[in-house]
Amino acid sequence: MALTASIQTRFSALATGGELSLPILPDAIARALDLAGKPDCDLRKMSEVVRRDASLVAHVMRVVNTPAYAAATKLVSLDQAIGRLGFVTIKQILLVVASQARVFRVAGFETEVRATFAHCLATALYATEIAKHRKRLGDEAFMAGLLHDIGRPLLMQALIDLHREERMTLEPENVWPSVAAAHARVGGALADRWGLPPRVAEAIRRHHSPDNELSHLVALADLLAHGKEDVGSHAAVLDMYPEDVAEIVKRKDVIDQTVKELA
Amino acid sequence: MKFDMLVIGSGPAGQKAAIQAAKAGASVLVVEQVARPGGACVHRGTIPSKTLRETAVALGLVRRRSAGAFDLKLPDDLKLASLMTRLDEVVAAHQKFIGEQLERNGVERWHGRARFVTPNLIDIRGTDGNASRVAAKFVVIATGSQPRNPDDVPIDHERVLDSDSILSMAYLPQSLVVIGSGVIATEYACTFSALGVQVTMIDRSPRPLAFLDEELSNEVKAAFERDGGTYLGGRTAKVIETEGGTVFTTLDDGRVIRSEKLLYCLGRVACLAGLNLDAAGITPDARGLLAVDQHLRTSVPNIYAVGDVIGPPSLAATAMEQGRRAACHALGLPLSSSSQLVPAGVYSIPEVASVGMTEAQVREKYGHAIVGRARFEELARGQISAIEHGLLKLVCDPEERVLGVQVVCEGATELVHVGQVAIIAGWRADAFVENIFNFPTLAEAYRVAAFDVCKQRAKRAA
Repeated sequence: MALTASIQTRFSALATGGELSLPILPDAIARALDLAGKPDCDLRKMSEVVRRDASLVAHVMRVVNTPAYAAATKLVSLDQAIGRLGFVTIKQILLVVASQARVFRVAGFETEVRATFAHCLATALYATEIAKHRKRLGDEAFMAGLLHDIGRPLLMQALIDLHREERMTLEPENVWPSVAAAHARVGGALADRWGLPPRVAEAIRRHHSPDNELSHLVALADLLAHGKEDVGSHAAVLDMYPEDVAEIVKRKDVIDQTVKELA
Repeated sequence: MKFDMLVIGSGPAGQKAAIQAAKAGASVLVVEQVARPGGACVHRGTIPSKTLRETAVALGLVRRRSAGAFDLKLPDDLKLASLMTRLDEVVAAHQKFIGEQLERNGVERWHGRARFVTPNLIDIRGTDGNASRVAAKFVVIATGSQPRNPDDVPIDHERVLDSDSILSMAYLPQSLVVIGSGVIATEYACTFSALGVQVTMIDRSPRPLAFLDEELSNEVKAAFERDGGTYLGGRTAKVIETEGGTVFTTLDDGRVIRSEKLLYCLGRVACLAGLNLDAAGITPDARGLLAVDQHLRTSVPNIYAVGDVIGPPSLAATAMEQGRRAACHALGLPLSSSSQLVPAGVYSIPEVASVGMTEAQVREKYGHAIVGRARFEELARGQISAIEHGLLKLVCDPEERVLGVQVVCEGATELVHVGQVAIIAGWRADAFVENIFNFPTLAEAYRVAAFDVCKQRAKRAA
């Protein structure tokens, strides 16, 4: 059974009309993201901001000790982690924590949303590897990769809420087709709302219709995270040859392990 | 497919080789591994860095020329990209020009990576992995170079950067350590210093740009230090570590320098991986460079190598000339001797340029050198333009024939060409005295330097 006309109309208004209420970032994370982008950011300030939220410290420590980040030595303190990984990486980790806690959590659809989060995290990690291969910091690539599908759980939640309001039952088969069309746009809106760079928001919006380097990069990472090796047009735009892609795919085990531990 | 000439790489060296060969009627294929032509020159090095430098120089000029009337302070959180807003246009325009020039000359262009099968057969693979085999009578290797990244230098492109990633920094840092004292290191050190960044250069060499005439490189060092930069010569960086937003550089004398960012600019390596040079019968030398004879031929007679892959001076203008000469030699075209004269230009602040012989070289060859000097602060134009320091050296043999010119001054890279023409024409220093130059101009420095030569003659006679 398809969506009812009433829900369809209201959902469309939310999905395309910009009326969807977007979650805000937890305060500590918002401050930390802001600080990480400032030229006068230092270890003490960053550590202070993160420490304000005790649960945040625990989350960060969990992430920094996954294979994608941890080196030979185990990171035991927050200061040590920030020092070793640098502000950019810490900022990315905070974004992982925030998105997982605030968005990738939809009651009744836990399995699906966890899978989406796992895919997004893998995309972020692949995107970073591609950027590094291209000798770029990879910060924007990470953010755009992580949030490229974040519109899906957002729209899913909106759909659930609408059904609850109208006292209707949401048929699971209606979920994906409904959220597919607008997810990129909504994801871009969330990135704007969270104050991420405009290029990141744009890449999220265009990840299914890439038109610049970053959006092609995210599209390529998206494919690699789905385990697809046929990366045709994106690879050509990014000047990535099969041997370059093979080099990226070598990181698959590390990425898979990290995703497994966090998702 | 068959071509008279296959050129691998579309940077300055490859472009000129291809165009020269095509103009002579040869069928030419240029292979470039990235979609856009131009090489590192257009995309990572020469042109982007000069665009940023232009902003830095303009800021300095406004400050000096307004004599403090404008207090131009850059905001602390200034985004680097906002200082290079013209970059995309500059790069796009240059790239378009290169593409059109190749096309106009009938040069075929493929996007792919080349791999030797034999000295005459090359596989060209696209990003899709499919290869086409091409036969070429001559091959020109012009694949360029990339920064050397030693294992013990933690280049993360965030805190420790190389010349390929330095311009991707989001913000102008407060402080920057530059390891190295070559052209790239010096250009970036000067540019960032002029933008108000606290820059420390560290290198074994006692002065930057040590390959230049000593007087010139001392001028550059002095200018850099006047601008607030620190040059630590005779030292090497032993350990480079990062913690948080800080880079710690430990020198061989035990000193530790803290900085927000570090630019590692110690050496470049030739881009030869993937070419399968073994199949061509070529072995790179111990430094990973390709050895060539005076005609730019490798050990395999039909294969030439030009540009950065053969080593210093690694300047775009030199690379272009090498490309042209290689193509001429391959096709049996005549070359005049004057093309041996290749000027060098370095976009430090101020610029440095040199053509012909240096004072030391003339002295060694002729036993004695006559050098006329002009200081730019003594010229009307220099004063008007608020050029506080600068030097032009007119280097002559004992007969006062002009054999070399070295200039350090904003605009030196243009100014040097006047001297170049004089050398080609075989002028004596007198010619600059006997001919009229516009007033007030920087070119007047040539007259001042020539008068200096005359003065020395008078002194010798007396």
